Amino acid sequence: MVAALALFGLSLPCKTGTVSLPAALLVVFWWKRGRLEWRRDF
Amino acid sequence: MVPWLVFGAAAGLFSGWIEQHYLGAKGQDFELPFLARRLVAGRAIWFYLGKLVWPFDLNFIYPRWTSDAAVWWQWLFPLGVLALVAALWFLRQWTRAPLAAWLFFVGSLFPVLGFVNLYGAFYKFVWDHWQYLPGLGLIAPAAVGLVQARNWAAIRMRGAGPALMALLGGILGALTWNHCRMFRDDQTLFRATLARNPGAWMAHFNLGDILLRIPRREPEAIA
Repeated sequence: MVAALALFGLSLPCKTGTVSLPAALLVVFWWKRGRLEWRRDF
Repeated sequence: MVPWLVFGAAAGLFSGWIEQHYLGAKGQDFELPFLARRLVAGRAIWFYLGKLVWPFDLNFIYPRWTSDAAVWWQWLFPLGVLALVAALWFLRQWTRAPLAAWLFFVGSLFPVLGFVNLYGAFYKFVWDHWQYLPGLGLIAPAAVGLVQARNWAAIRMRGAGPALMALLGGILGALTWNHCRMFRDDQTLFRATLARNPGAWMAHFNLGDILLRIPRREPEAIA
C-alpha cells in the first residue's frame, strides 16, 4: 500500500495527468463492487 | 484512498499554479465566462471521443473554436454529455461497465477540459496528448468487446476472427506510421500542421522563423 502510494507520488511530477488516478480508481471500485464504502474504499 | 486524493488534489493545484504564474496562463487571453467554459468542456469531450473512434486527420494544432453561450447549438455538446450519462446510469441495472468507462474517461479528462487555465489553451482547447491516459478508459473496454466479437466470429466463420484483428491492427499500424512521419523535424511538423489547419498562426510563425535561418529562403519565410 505504501509502495503504491509512493509510486503514485513519483508519477505526479512525471505526468500531471495522473492527478486523476485516485478518482479513476474509485470508479473502478464502483464498477467491480457496485458501491463504494467509506472504510474499505477510502 | 484519502492520501491518494489529497496527493492528487495537491499536485493538480500546484500544476495549475505553475501554469498560471510561470507559464503565463492568465490574463485577457485566458478569460472565459463560466458558461463558456462549460461549452468548451462539452465540445472537448466529444472531440476526444471522436478522435478515439475515428483516428484520422490527427493534427498538432487543431482550430481554436470560439465558445459563445448565446449560440444555441453549442449547448448541444454539454447537454449531449449529460444525456449520455443519464442513459448509462439507467443502463447500470444491467451492466455498470459502460458508465464506469465513461466516468473514467470524462473524469480523467477533467483537468484539461477548460475549467483550469492551461497554457496550451492559448493555441487551442484540445491536444491529442491530453487524452493519452483518459483514452484508456474507453480503449480497454473496447478491446474486450473486440476480443468477444472475434470469439463470436471464430465460431461462425472460420478464420474471420484473426483476419478482422489483422485488418484492424494493420489499419491502426499504418495510421501510426504515417502520423509519426509528421514529427520527423520541426519544418515537417509545421508544414504538415498547416496543410491540415491553414489558420494555425503558431505554425506559420515557427515555420517562417525556421526558413529565415536558411540562406535564400527569406522570401518563402515572409510569404
